[in-house]
Amino acid sequence: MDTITISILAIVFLLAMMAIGVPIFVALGVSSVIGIILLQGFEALSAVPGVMYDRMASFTLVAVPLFILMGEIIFVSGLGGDIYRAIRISLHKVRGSLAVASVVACAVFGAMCGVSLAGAATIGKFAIPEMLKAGYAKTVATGVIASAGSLALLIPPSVGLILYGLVAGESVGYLFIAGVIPGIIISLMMMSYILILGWLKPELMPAVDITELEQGKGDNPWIVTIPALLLVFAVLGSIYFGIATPSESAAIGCVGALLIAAYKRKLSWQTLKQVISDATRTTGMILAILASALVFGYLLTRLRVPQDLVAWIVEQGFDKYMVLVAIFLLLIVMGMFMDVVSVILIATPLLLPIIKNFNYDPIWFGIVMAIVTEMAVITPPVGLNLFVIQGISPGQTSLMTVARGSFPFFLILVLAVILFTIFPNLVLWLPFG
Amino acid sequence: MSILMRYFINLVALVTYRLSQLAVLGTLAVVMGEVISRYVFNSPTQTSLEITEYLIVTMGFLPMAFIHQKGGHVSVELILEVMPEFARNLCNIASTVIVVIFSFVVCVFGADITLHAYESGIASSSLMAFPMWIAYLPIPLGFFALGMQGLVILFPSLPDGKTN
Repeated sequence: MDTITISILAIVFLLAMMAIGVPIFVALGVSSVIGIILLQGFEALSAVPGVMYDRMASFTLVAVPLFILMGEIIFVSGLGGDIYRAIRISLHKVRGSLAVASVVACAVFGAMCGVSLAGAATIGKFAIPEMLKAGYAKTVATGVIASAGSLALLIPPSVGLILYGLVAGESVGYLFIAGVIPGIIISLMMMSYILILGWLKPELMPAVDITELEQGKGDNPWIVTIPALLLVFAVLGSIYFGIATPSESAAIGCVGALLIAAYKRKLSWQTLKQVISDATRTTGMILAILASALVFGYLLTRLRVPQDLVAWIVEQGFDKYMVLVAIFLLLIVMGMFMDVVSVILIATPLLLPIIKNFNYDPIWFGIVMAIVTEMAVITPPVGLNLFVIQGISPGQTSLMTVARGSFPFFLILVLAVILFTIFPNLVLWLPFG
Repeated sequence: MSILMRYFINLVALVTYRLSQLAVLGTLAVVMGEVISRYVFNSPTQTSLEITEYLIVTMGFLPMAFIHQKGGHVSVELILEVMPEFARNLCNIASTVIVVIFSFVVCVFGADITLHAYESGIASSSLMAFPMWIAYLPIPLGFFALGMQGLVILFPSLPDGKTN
Protein backbone atom coordinates (compact mmCIF):
# COMPACT_ATOMS: atom_id res chain seq x y z
CA MET A 1 0.00 0.00 0.00
CA ASP A 2 1.40 3.44 -0.87
CA THR A 3 2.10 6.05 1.78
CA ILE A 4 -0.65 8.44 0.65
CA THR A 5 -3.34 5.76 1.05
CA ILE A 6 -1.94 4.82 4.48
CA SER A 7 -1.92 8.50 5.52
CA ILE A 8 -5.52 8.96 4.43
CA LEU A 9 -6.59 5.73 6.18
CA ALA A 10 -4.83 6.74 9.42
CA ILE A 11 -6.52 10.15 9.42
CA VAL A 12 -9.93 8.67 8.54
CA PHE A 13 -9.61 6.12 11.38
CA LEU A 14 -8.60 8.93 13.74
CA LEU A 15 -11.64 11.05 12.84
CA ALA A 16 -14.02 8.07 12.91
CA MET A 17 -12.86 6.98 16.35
CA MET A 18 -13.07 10.49 17.73
CA ALA A 19 -16.60 10.75 16.32
CA ILE A 20 -17.78 7.69 18.29
CA GLY A 21 -16.35 9.07 21.53
CA VAL A 22 -13.11 7.08 21.80
CA PRO A 23 -10.77 8.98 24.17
CA ILE A 24 -8.53 11.17 22.01
CA PHE A 25 -5.30 9.58 23.24
CA VAL A 26 -6.60 6.13 22.29
CA ALA A 27 -7.88 7.35 18.92
CA LEU A 28 -4.45 8.81 18.17
CA GLY A 29 -2.75 5.63 19.36
CA VAL A 30 -4.97 3.25 17.39
CA SER A 31 -4.68 5.20 14.13
CA SER A 32 -0.90 5.23 14.64
CA VAL A 33 -0.89 1.47 15.26
CA ILE A 34 -2.94 0.84 12.11
CA GLY A 35 -0.65 3.11 10.10
CA ILE A 36 2.50 1.42 11.42
CA ILE A 37 1.12 -2.07 10.68
CA LEU A 38 0.18 -1.07 7.13
CA LEU A 39 3.56 0.57 6.58
CA GLN A 40 5.97 -1.84 8.24
CA GLY A 41 4.05 -4.85 9.57
CA PHE A 42 3.24 -6.13 13.06
CA GLU A 43 6.87 -6.43 14.16
CA ALA A 44 7.30 -2.67 13.86
CA LEU A 45 4.79 -2.11 16.67
CA SER A 46 7.62 -2.26 19.21
CA ALA A 47 8.23 1.31 18.01
CA VAL A 48 5.03 2.39 19.80
CA PRO A 49 6.25 2.00 23.42
CA GLY A 50 9.77 2.88 22.25
CA VAL A 51 8.73 6.24 20.81
CA MET A 52 6.47 6.92 23.79
CA TYR A 53 9.34 6.38 26.21
CA ASP A 54 12.10 8.13 24.26
CA ARG A 55 10.12 11.29 23.60
CA MET A 56 8.38 11.45 26.98
CA ALA A 57 11.53 11.07 29.09
CA SER A 58 12.35 14.76 28.81
CA PHE A 59 13.31 17.30 31.47
CA THR A 60 11.41 20.00 29.54
CA LEU A 61 8.19 18.11 30.21
CA VAL A 62 8.78 18.26 33.97
CA ALA A 63 7.45 21.84 33.85
CA VAL A 64 3.97 20.52 32.92
CA PRO A 65 3.07 18.71 36.18
CA LEU A 66 4.81 21.36 38.28
CA PHE A 67 3.00 24.31 36.69
CA ILE A 68 -0.28 22.39 36.92
CA LEU A 69 0.42 21.70 40.61
CA MET A 70 1.26 25.37 41.14
CA GLY A 71 -2.02 26.37 39.46
CA GLU A 72 -4.00 23.98 41.67
CA ILE A 73 -2.37 25.37 44.82
CA ILE A 74 -3.05 28.96 43.72
CA PHE A 75 -6.63 27.94 42.88
CA VAL A 76 -7.28 26.99 46.53
CA SER A 77 -5.13 29.75 48.06
CA GLY A 78 -7.66 32.55 47.54
CA LEU A 79 -5.08 34.67 45.70
CA GLY A 80 -7.43 35.09 42.72
CA GLY A 81 -10.04 36.79 44.90
CA ASP A 82 -7.42 39.07 46.49
CA ILE A 83 -6.11 40.21 43.12
CA TYR A 84 -9.59 40.82 41.73
CA ARG A 85 -10.63 42.85 44.79
CA ALA A 86 -7.51 45.04 44.72
CA ILE A 87 -7.89 45.88 41.04
CA ARG A 88 -11.63 46.42 41.32
CA ILE A 89 -11.20 48.95 44.16
CA SER A 90 -8.44 50.80 42.31
CA LEU A 91 -10.53 51.09 39.15
CA HIS A 92 -13.93 51.78 40.72
CA LYS A 93 -14.27 55.23 39.12
CA VAL A 94 -14.04 53.79 35.62
CA ARG A 95 -17.23 52.85 33.77
CA GLY A 96 -17.18 49.08 33.46
CA SER A 97 -14.68 48.82 36.32
CA LEU A 98 -15.76 45.34 37.37
CA ALA A 99 -15.32 43.96 33.86
CA VAL A 100 -11.96 45.70 33.41
CA ALA A 101 -10.83 44.43 36.81
CA SER A 102 -11.86 40.91 35.74
CA VAL A 103 -9.63 41.10 32.65
CA VAL A 104 -6.64 42.34 34.66
CA ALA A 105 -7.23 39.75 37.39
CA CYS A 106 -7.47 36.94 34.81
CA ALA A 107 -4.26 38.15 33.15
CA VAL A 108 -2.38 38.27 36.48
CA PHE A 109 -3.86 34.91 37.47
CA GLY A 110 -2.77 33.56 34.09
CA ALA A 111 0.77 34.62 34.95
CA MET A 112 0.65 32.26 37.92
CA CYS A 113 -1.30 29.40 36.44
CA GLY A 114 -0.96 27.76 33.05
CA VAL A 115 -4.49 26.41 32.62
CA SER A 116 -7.33 28.62 31.34
CA LEU A 117 -10.11 26.84 33.22
CA ALA A 118 -8.59 27.63 36.62
CA GLY A 119 -8.41 31.36 35.86
CA ALA A 120 -11.93 31.53 34.51
CA ALA A 121 -13.34 29.52 37.42
CA THR A 122 -11.41 31.33 40.15
CA ILE A 123 -12.03 34.91 39.06
CA GLY A 124 -15.51 34.10 37.75
CA LYS A 125 -16.59 32.79 41.15
CA PHE A 126 -16.18 36.29 42.65
CA ALA A 127 -16.57 38.55 39.65
CA ILE A 128 -19.73 37.23 37.95
CA PRO A 129 -22.03 37.48 41.01
CA GLU A 130 -20.66 41.00 41.72
CA MET A 131 -21.17 42.14 38.13
CA LEU A 132 -24.69 40.75 38.07
CA LYS A 133 -25.43 42.36 41.45
CA ALA A 134 -24.19 45.68 40.07
CA GLY A 135 -26.64 45.34 37.18
CA TYR A 136 -24.24 44.27 34.41
CA ALA A 137 -25.80 42.48 31.46
CA LYS A 138 -25.40 38.72 31.82
CA THR A 139 -23.77 38.42 28.41
CA VAL A 140 -21.11 40.96 29.43
CA ALA A 141 -20.46 39.45 32.88
CA THR A 142 -20.08 35.90 31.62
CA GLY A 143 -18.42 36.68 28.28
CA VAL A 144 -15.69 38.81 29.87
CA ILE A 145 -14.66 36.08 32.31
CA ALA A 146 -14.81 33.22 29.78
CA SER A 147 -12.64 35.20 27.35
CA ALA A 148 -10.20 36.78 29.80
CA GLY A 149 -9.75 33.38 31.46
CA SER A 150 -8.38 32.11 28.16
CA LEU A 151 -5.43 34.53 28.48
CA ALA A 152 -3.75 31.86 30.64
CA LEU A 153 -3.16 29.88 27.45
CA LEU A 154 -0.91 32.64 26.15
CA ILE A 155 0.52 34.39 29.19
CA PRO A 156 3.42 32.37 30.60
CA PRO A 157 3.63 29.89 32.27
CA SER A 158 1.27 28.30 29.75
CA VAL A 159 1.07 24.50 29.64
CA GLY A 160 0.09 24.74 25.97
CA LEU A 161 3.32 26.58 25.15
CA ILE A 162 5.37 23.92 26.97
CA LEU A 163 3.72 21.18 24.90
CA TYR A 164 4.21 23.16 21.69
CA GLY A 165 7.87 23.69 22.59
CA LEU A 166 8.34 19.99 23.16
CA VAL A 167 6.69 18.87 19.92
CA ALA A 168 8.22 21.67 17.83
CA GLY A 169 11.66 21.30 19.40
CA GLU A 170 11.68 25.00 20.38
CA SER A 171 12.90 26.63 23.59
CA VAL A 172 10.10 26.81 26.16
CA GLY A 173 11.91 29.74 27.79
CA TYR A 174 11.79 31.75 24.54
CA LEU A 175 8.14 30.83 24.04
CA PHE A 176 7.29 32.02 27.55
CA ILE A 177 9.10 35.31 27.03
CA ALA A 178 7.52 35.75 23.59
CA GLY A 179 4.05 35.35 25.15
CA VAL A 180 4.43 38.33 27.50
CA ILE A 181 3.91 41.26 25.09
CA PRO A 182 1.05 39.63 23.11
CA GLY A 183 -0.57 38.76 26.45
CA ILE A 184 -0.38 42.39 27.57
CA ILE A 185 -1.57 43.71 24.19
CA ILE A 186 -4.58 41.38 24.08
CA SER A 187 -5.46 42.27 27.69
CA LEU A 188 -5.33 45.97 26.73
CA MET A 189 -7.47 45.32 23.65
CA MET A 190 -10.06 43.53 25.80
CA MET A 191 -10.06 46.38 28.34
CA SER A 192 -10.36 49.00 25.59
CA TYR A 193 -13.36 47.18 24.17
CA ILE A 194 -15.02 47.12 27.61
CA LEU A 195 -14.37 50.84 28.14
CA ILE A 196 -15.76 51.71 24.69
CA LEU A 197 -18.80 49.49 25.27
CA GLY A 198 -19.35 51.11 28.68
CA TRP A 199 -19.22 54.53 27.06
CA LEU A 200 -21.49 53.61 24.13
CA LYS A 201 -23.98 51.48 26.06
CA PRO A 202 -23.80 52.49 29.73
CA GLU A 203 -26.96 50.49 30.48
CA LEU A 204 -24.96 47.28 29.99
CA MET A 205 -22.50 48.27 32.73
CA PRO A 206 -24.01 50.55 35.37
CA ALA A 207 -21.70 52.54 37.70
CA VAL A 208 -20.76 50.63 40.86
CA ASP A 209 -21.20 51.83 44.41
CA ILE A 210 -17.92 50.60 45.86
CA THR A 211 -18.93 51.24 49.49
CA GLU A 212 -21.72 48.72 49.13
CA LEU A 213 -19.28 46.05 47.94
CA GLU A 214 -16.61 46.89 50.50
CA GLN A 215 -18.58 47.16 53.73
CA GLY A 216 -16.33 46.49 56.75
CA LYS A 217 -13.15 46.05 54.71
CA GLY A 218 -10.95 49.03 55.48
CA ASP A 219 -7.52 47.51 54.77
CA ASN A 220 -5.30 48.35 51.79
CA PRO A 221 -6.34 45.76 49.19
CA TRP A 222 -2.93 45.69 47.48
CA ILE A 223 -1.01 44.52 50.56
CA VAL A 224 -2.47 41.00 50.38
CA THR A 225 -1.57 40.73 46.68
CA ILE A 226 2.16 41.35 47.25
CA PRO A 227 2.97 37.62 47.67
CA ALA A 228 1.12 36.85 44.43
CA LEU A 229 2.99 39.53 42.51
CA LEU A 230 6.30 38.38 44.00
CA LEU A 231 5.46 34.87 42.87
CA VAL A 232 4.84 36.06 39.29
CA PHE A 233 8.17 37.92 39.27
CA ALA A 234 10.01 34.95 40.80
CA VAL A 235 8.68 32.52 38.19
CA LEU A 236 8.86 34.69 35.07
CA GLY A 237 11.90 36.70 36.17
CA SER A 238 13.99 33.61 36.82
CA ILE A 239 13.22 32.38 33.27
CA TYR A 240 13.67 35.78 31.59
CA PHE A 241 17.03 36.49 33.21
CA GLY A 242 18.22 32.96 32.50
CA ILE A 243 18.61 32.16 36.19
CA ALA A 244 16.48 29.01 36.06
CA THR A 245 14.99 26.69 33.46
CA PRO A 246 11.18 26.65 33.12
CA SER A 247 11.09 23.34 35.05
CA GLU A 248 13.16 24.80 37.89
CA SER A 249 11.10 27.98 38.01
CA ALA A 250 7.96 25.81 38.12
CA ALA A 251 9.34 24.05 41.22
CA ILE A 252 10.16 27.42 42.79
CA GLY A 253 6.63 28.59 41.94
CA CYS A 254 5.10 25.47 43.53
CA VAL A 255 6.99 25.97 46.78
CA GLY A 256 6.16 29.70 46.77
CA ALA A 257 2.48 28.95 46.17
CA LEU A 258 2.52 26.36 48.97
CA LEU A 259 4.05 28.87 51.38
CA ILE A 260 1.48 31.54 50.44
CA ALA A 261 -1.43 29.09 50.79
CA ALA A 262 -0.07 27.91 54.17
CA TYR A 263 0.38 31.53 55.34
CA LYS A 264 -3.19 32.32 54.32
CA ARG A 265 -4.32 29.22 56.25
CA LYS A 266 -5.89 27.70 53.16
CA LEU A 267 -3.78 24.55 53.19
CA SER A 268 -5.38 21.81 55.26
CA TRP A 269 -4.29 18.19 54.88
CA GLN A 270 -7.53 17.51 53.02
CA THR A 271 -6.93 20.42 50.63
CA LEU A 272 -3.37 19.30 50.01
CA LYS A 273 -4.55 15.79 49.12
CA GLN A 274 -7.17 17.24 46.78
CA VAL A 275 -4.61 19.52 45.13
CA ILE A 276 -2.19 16.65 44.48
CA SER A 277 -5.00 14.42 43.24
CA ASP A 278 -6.31 17.06 40.80
CA ALA A 279 -2.80 17.86 39.56
CA THR A 280 -2.07 14.15 38.99
CA ARG A 281 -5.30 13.67 37.03
CA THR A 282 -4.78 16.71 34.82
CA THR A 283 -1.15 15.80 34.24
CA GLY A 284 -2.00 12.17 33.45
CA MET A 285 -4.73 13.23 31.02
CA ILE A 286 -2.39 15.63 29.18
CA LEU A 287 0.60 13.27 29.13
CA ALA A 288 -1.54 10.39 27.79
CA ILE A 289 -2.55 12.54 24.82
CA LEU A 290 1.06 13.66 24.42
CA ALA A 291 2.37 10.07 24.40
CA SER A 292 -0.04 9.04 21.64
CA ALA A 293 0.44 12.28 19.72
CA LEU A 294 4.18 11.61 19.69
CA VAL A 295 3.56 8.20 18.12
CA PHE A 296 1.17 9.79 15.63
CA GLY A 297 3.85 12.37 14.82
CA TYR A 298 6.34 9.52 14.36
CA LEU A 299 3.96 7.85 11.89
CA LEU A 300 3.42 11.08 9.96
CA THR A 301 7.18 11.54 9.70
CA ARG A 302 7.68 7.95 8.50
CA LEU A 303 4.97 8.52 5.92
CA ARG A 304 6.59 11.85 4.99
CA VAL A 305 3.17 13.54 5.28
CA PRO A 306 4.46 16.97 6.41
CA GLN A 307 7.11 17.00 3.67
CA ASP A 308 4.64 15.90 0.99
CA LEU A 309 2.15 18.50 2.20
CA VAL A 310 4.79 21.23 1.95
CA ALA A 311 5.79 20.03 -1.54
CA TRP A 312 2.16 20.01 -2.67
CA ILE A 313 1.52 23.53 -1.36
CA VAL A 314 4.67 24.83 -3.05
CA GLU A 315 3.70 23.06 -6.28
CA GLN A 316 0.28 24.71 -6.27
CA GLY A 317 1.95 28.09 -5.91
CA PHE A 318 -0.36 29.29 -3.13
CA ASP A 319 0.27 32.74 -1.72
CA LYS A 320 1.85 32.58 1.75
CA TYR A 321 -0.92 34.68 3.33
CA MET A 322 -3.52 32.40 1.78
CA VAL A 323 -1.76 29.40 3.34
CA LEU A 324 -1.58 31.19 6.67
CA VAL A 325 -5.30 32.00 6.60
CA ALA A 326 -6.04 28.35 5.71
CA ILE A 327 -3.90 27.20 8.66
CA PHE A 328 -5.65 29.57 11.06
CA LEU A 329 -9.08 28.45 9.83
CA LEU A 330 -8.07 24.80 10.24
CA LEU A 331 -6.90 25.47 13.80
CA ILE A 332 -10.11 27.33 14.66
CA VAL A 333 -12.25 24.50 13.27
CA MET A 334 -10.14 21.90 15.13
CA GLY A 335 -10.52 23.97 18.29
CA MET A 336 -14.29 23.97 17.91
CA PHE A 337 -14.36 20.18 18.30
CA MET A 338 -11.22 19.29 20.29
CA ASP A 339 -9.56 20.41 23.49
CA VAL A 340 -6.59 22.75 23.35
CA VAL A 341 -3.97 20.11 24.19
CA SER A 342 -5.13 17.85 21.37
CA VAL A 343 -5.21 20.71 18.87
CA ILE A 344 -1.62 21.71 19.69
CA LEU A 345 -0.27 18.17 19.73
CA ILE A 346 -2.00 17.00 16.54
CA ALA A 347 -1.58 20.17 14.48
CA THR A 348 2.02 21.12 15.32
CA PRO A 349 3.86 18.25 13.58
CA LEU A 350 1.64 18.68 10.50
CA LEU A 351 1.70 22.45 10.20
CA LEU A 352 5.12 23.47 11.48
CA PRO A 353 7.03 22.32 8.36
CA ILE A 354 4.69 24.46 6.23
CA ILE A 355 5.27 27.44 8.51
CA LYS A 356 9.04 26.95 8.35
CA ASN A 357 8.88 26.59 4.58
CA PHE A 358 7.34 30.06 4.33
CA ASN A 359 10.10 31.43 6.60
CA TYR A 360 7.84 32.20 9.53
CA ASP A 361 9.48 31.92 12.93
CA PRO A 362 8.41 28.80 14.91
CA ILE A 363 8.35 30.83 18.15
CA TRP A 364 6.00 33.33 16.49
CA PHE A 365 3.81 30.46 15.25
CA GLY A 366 3.66 28.97 18.76
CA ILE A 367 2.34 32.26 20.13
CA VAL A 368 -0.17 32.72 17.31
CA MET A 369 -1.30 29.14 17.76
CA ALA A 370 -1.82 29.83 21.47
CA ILE A 371 -4.03 32.82 20.55
CA VAL A 372 -6.03 30.66 18.13
CA THR A 373 -6.51 28.05 20.86
CA GLU A 374 -7.78 30.89 23.07
CA MET A 375 -10.50 31.31 20.47
CA ALA A 376 -11.18 27.58 20.68
CA VAL A 377 -12.04 27.64 24.40
CA ILE A 378 -14.67 30.36 23.89
CA THR A 379 -16.26 28.91 20.76
CA PRO A 380 -19.17 26.43 20.86
CA PRO A 381 -19.71 23.53 20.74
CA VAL A 382 -16.61 22.42 22.73
CA GLY A 383 -15.49 25.71 24.26
CA LEU A 384 -14.48 24.53 27.72
CA ASN A 385 -14.47 28.01 29.27
CA LEU A 386 -18.07 28.50 28.14
CA PHE A 387 -19.12 25.38 30.05
CA VAL A 388 -17.19 26.38 33.16
CA ILE A 389 -18.69 29.87 33.20
CA GLN A 390 -22.16 28.48 32.56
CA GLY A 391 -21.60 26.14 35.52
CA ILE A 392 -20.48 28.79 38.01
CA SER A 393 -22.89 31.56 36.97
CA PRO A 394 -25.70 32.14 39.47
CA GLY A 395 -29.24 31.44 38.31
CA GLN A 396 -30.17 30.08 34.91
CA THR A 397 -27.47 30.90 32.35
CA SER A 398 -27.57 29.32 28.92
CA LEU A 399 -24.45 28.34 27.01
CA MET A 400 -25.55 30.68 24.23
CA THR A 401 -25.61 33.64 26.65
CA VAL A 402 -21.96 33.02 27.52
CA ALA A 403 -21.09 32.37 23.86
CA ARG A 404 -22.81 35.60 22.76
CA GLY A 405 -20.93 37.52 25.43
CA SER A 406 -17.64 35.95 24.32
CA PHE A 407 -18.12 36.66 20.61
CA PRO A 408 -16.76 40.26 20.65
CA PHE A 409 -13.67 38.91 22.42
CA PHE A 410 -13.35 36.23 19.75
CA LEU A 411 -13.21 39.06 17.20
CA ILE A 412 -10.58 40.81 19.35
CA LEU A 413 -8.47 37.63 19.23
CA VAL A 414 -8.91 37.51 15.42
CA LEU A 415 -7.73 41.13 15.31
CA ALA A 416 -4.77 40.21 17.51
CA VAL A 417 -3.76 37.37 15.17
CA ILE A 418 -3.89 39.79 12.21
CA LEU A 419 -1.86 42.34 14.18
CA PHE A 420 0.85 39.85 15.15
CA THR A 421 0.97 38.50 11.59
CA ILE A 422 1.53 41.98 10.16
CA PHE A 423 3.93 42.93 12.96
CA PRO A 424 5.66 39.68 14.02
CA ASN A 425 8.27 41.69 15.93
CA LEU A 426 5.64 42.40 18.57
CA VAL A 427 6.03 38.72 19.43
CA LEU A 428 9.72 38.25 18.68
CA TRP A 429 11.17 41.47 20.06
CA LEU A 430 11.30 40.43 23.73
CA PRO A 431 12.98 37.03 23.28
CA PHE A 432 15.32 38.05 20.45
CA GLY A 433 15.47 41.86 20.63
CA MET B 1 -16.86 -10.72 36.08
CA SER B 2 -16.52 -11.80 39.69
CA ILE B 3 -16.56 -9.29 42.52
CA LEU B 4 -13.06 -10.39 43.57
CA MET B 5 -11.72 -9.82 40.06
CA ARG B 6 -13.39 -6.42 39.85
CA TYR B 7 -11.97 -5.49 43.27
CA PHE B 8 -8.49 -6.55 42.16
CA ILE B 9 -8.68 -4.50 38.94
CA ASN B 10 -9.90 -1.40 40.77
CA LEU B 11 -7.17 -1.91 43.36
CA VAL B 12 -4.54 -2.01 40.58
CA ALA B 13 -5.96 1.26 39.17
CA LEU B 14 -5.86 2.87 42.60
CA VAL B 15 -2.34 1.69 43.42
CA THR B 16 -0.95 2.86 40.08
CA TYR B 17 -2.70 6.20 40.63
CA ARG B 18 -1.19 6.56 44.11
CA LEU B 19 2.24 5.81 42.65
CA SER B 20 1.79 8.56 40.09
CA GLN B 21 0.75 10.97 42.85
CA LEU B 22 4.01 10.09 44.58
CA ALA B 23 5.81 10.71 41.29
CA VAL B 24 4.34 14.25 41.14
CA LEU B 25 5.54 14.97 44.68
CA GLY B 26 8.85 13.23 43.97
CA THR B 27 9.40 15.43 40.92
CA LEU B 28 8.78 18.57 42.97
CA ALA B 29 11.19 17.34 45.65
CA VAL B 30 13.92 16.35 43.17
CA VAL B 31 13.76 19.56 41.10
CA MET B 32 13.60 21.74 44.23
CA GLY B 33 16.50 19.77 45.70
CA GLU B 34 18.46 20.45 42.52
CA VAL B 35 17.61 24.18 42.67
CA ILE B 36 18.83 24.42 46.28
CA SER B 37 21.87 22.29 45.56
CA ARG B 38 22.84 24.35 42.50
CA TYR B 39 21.96 27.89 43.53
CA VAL B 40 22.46 27.76 47.30
CA PHE B 41 25.33 25.30 47.70
CA ASN B 42 26.78 25.80 44.21
CA SER B 43 26.99 22.06 43.84
CA PRO B 44 24.67 20.68 41.13
CA THR B 45 23.76 17.02 41.38
CA GLN B 46 24.51 14.49 38.65
CA THR B 47 21.30 12.56 38.96
CA SER B 48 18.28 14.84 39.33
CA LEU B 49 17.70 15.33 35.61
CA GLU B 50 17.69 11.59 34.98
CA ILE B 51 15.42 10.83 37.93
CA THR B 52 12.83 13.38 36.80
CA GLU B 53 12.79 11.80 33.34
CA TYR B 54 11.83 8.45 34.89
CA LEU B 55 9.24 10.16 37.08
CA ILE B 56 7.59 11.94 34.15
CA VAL B 57 7.14 8.60 32.36
CA THR B 58 5.58 7.24 35.56
CA MET B 59 3.20 10.23 35.74
CA GLY B 60 2.18 9.76 32.11
CA PHE B 61 1.29 6.07 32.10
CA LEU B 62 0.44 4.87 35.60
CA PRO B 63 -2.65 7.02 36.25
CA MET B 64 -4.33 6.16 32.92
CA ALA B 65 -6.59 3.44 34.36
CA PHE B 66 -7.79 5.52 37.30
CA ILE B 67 -8.46 8.54 35.09
CA HIS B 68 -10.40 6.30 32.68
CA GLN B 69 -12.41 4.90 35.59
CA LYS B 70 -13.38 8.45 36.59
CA GLY B 71 -14.18 9.42 32.97
CA GLY B 72 -11.34 11.93 33.00
CA HIS B 73 -9.84 11.29 29.56
CA VAL B 74 -10.77 13.83 26.93
CA SER B 75 -13.04 12.72 24.10
CA VAL B 76 -15.25 14.38 21.52
CA GLU B 77 -18.82 13.95 22.74
CA LEU B 78 -20.58 16.29 20.37
CA ILE B 79 -21.80 13.63 17.95
CA LEU B 80 -22.67 11.17 20.73
CA GLU B 81 -24.95 13.74 22.33
CA VAL B 82 -27.18 13.99 19.27
CA MET B 83 -27.37 10.21 18.73
CA PRO B 84 -30.36 8.10 19.83
CA GLU B 85 -29.72 6.17 23.04
CA PHE B 86 -29.29 2.80 21.33
CA ALA B 87 -26.62 4.16 18.94
CA ARG B 88 -24.92 5.95 21.81
CA ASN B 89 -24.71 2.74 23.85
CA LEU B 90 -23.34 0.93 20.84
CA CYS B 91 -20.68 3.60 20.37
CA ASN B 92 -19.77 3.41 24.06
CA ILE B 93 -19.29 -0.35 23.80
CA ALA B 94 -17.24 0.01 20.59
CA SER B 95 -15.17 2.75 22.22
CA THR B 96 -14.40 0.62 25.27
CA VAL B 97 -13.52 -2.40 23.08
CA ILE B 98 -11.07 -0.20 21.18
CA VAL B 99 -9.56 1.03 24.47
CA VAL B 100 -9.12 -2.57 25.66
CA ILE B 101 -7.54 -3.83 22.41
CA PHE B 102 -5.20 -0.83 22.12
CA SER B 103 -4.19 -1.13 25.77
CA PHE B 104 -3.29 -4.80 25.49
CA VAL B 105 -1.39 -4.26 22.23
CA VAL B 106 0.79 -1.54 23.79
CA CYS B 107 1.03 -3.59 27.00
CA VAL B 108 2.38 -6.62 25.11
CA PHE B 109 4.94 -4.63 23.10
CA GLY B 110 5.82 -2.56 26.17
CA ALA B 111 6.33 -5.74 28.19
CA ASP B 112 8.52 -7.02 25.37
CA ILE B 113 10.97 -4.10 25.54
CA THR B 114 10.85 -4.20 29.36
CA LEU B 115 11.67 -7.92 29.44
CA HIS B 116 14.38 -7.46 26.85
CA ALA B 117 15.96 -4.70 28.98
CA TYR B 118 15.72 -6.94 32.06
CA GLU B 119 17.19 -10.03 30.41
CA SER B 120 19.97 -8.07 28.71
CA GLY B 121 20.75 -6.12 31.89
CA ILE B 122 20.44 -2.82 30.00
CA ALA B 123 21.21 0.17 32.21
CA SER B 124 21.33 3.91 31.56
CA SER B 125 24.65 5.20 30.30
CA SER B 126 24.87 7.75 33.11
CA LEU B 127 26.67 7.51 36.46
CA MET B 128 23.47 6.11 37.96
CA ALA B 129 23.52 3.09 35.63
CA PHE B 130 19.78 2.84 36.30
CA PRO B 131 18.22 -0.49 35.20
CA MET B 132 16.16 0.45 32.16
CA TRP B 133 13.53 -2.23 32.72
CA ILE B 134 12.34 -0.23 35.73
CA ALA B 135 12.19 2.91 33.59
CA TYR B 136 10.14 1.10 30.91
CA LEU B 137 7.87 -0.70 33.40
CA PRO B 138 5.23 2.09 33.76
CA ILE B 139 4.30 1.62 30.08
CA PRO B 140 3.17 -2.05 30.18
CA LEU B 141 1.88 -1.66 33.73
CA GLY B 142 -0.15 1.46 32.93
CA PHE B 143 -1.64 -0.03 29.77
CA PHE B 144 -2.35 -3.36 31.52
CA ALA B 145 -4.26 -1.50 34.24
CA LEU B 146 -6.10 0.54 31.56
CA GLY B 147 -7.03 -2.58 29.57
CA MET B 148 -8.33 -4.32 32.68
CA GLN B 149 -10.25 -1.19 33.66
CA GLY B 150 -11.76 -1.20 30.19
CA LEU B 151 -12.96 -4.76 30.79
CA VAL B 152 -14.60 -3.71 34.07
CA ILE B 153 -16.44 -0.94 32.22
CA LEU B 154 -17.28 -3.21 29.30
CA PHE B 155 -18.90 -6.07 31.18
CA PRO B 156 -21.83 -4.13 32.65
CA SER B 157 -22.40 -2.80 29.13
CA LEU B 158 -23.08 -6.24 27.68
CA PRO B 159 -26.72 -6.83 26.73
CA ASP B 160 -27.22 -9.74 29.14
CA GLY B 161 -27.11 -7.20 31.96
CA LYS B 162 -24.64 -9.08 34.15
CA THR B 163 -23.48 -6.14 36.19
CA ASN B 164 -22.64 -7.89 39.49
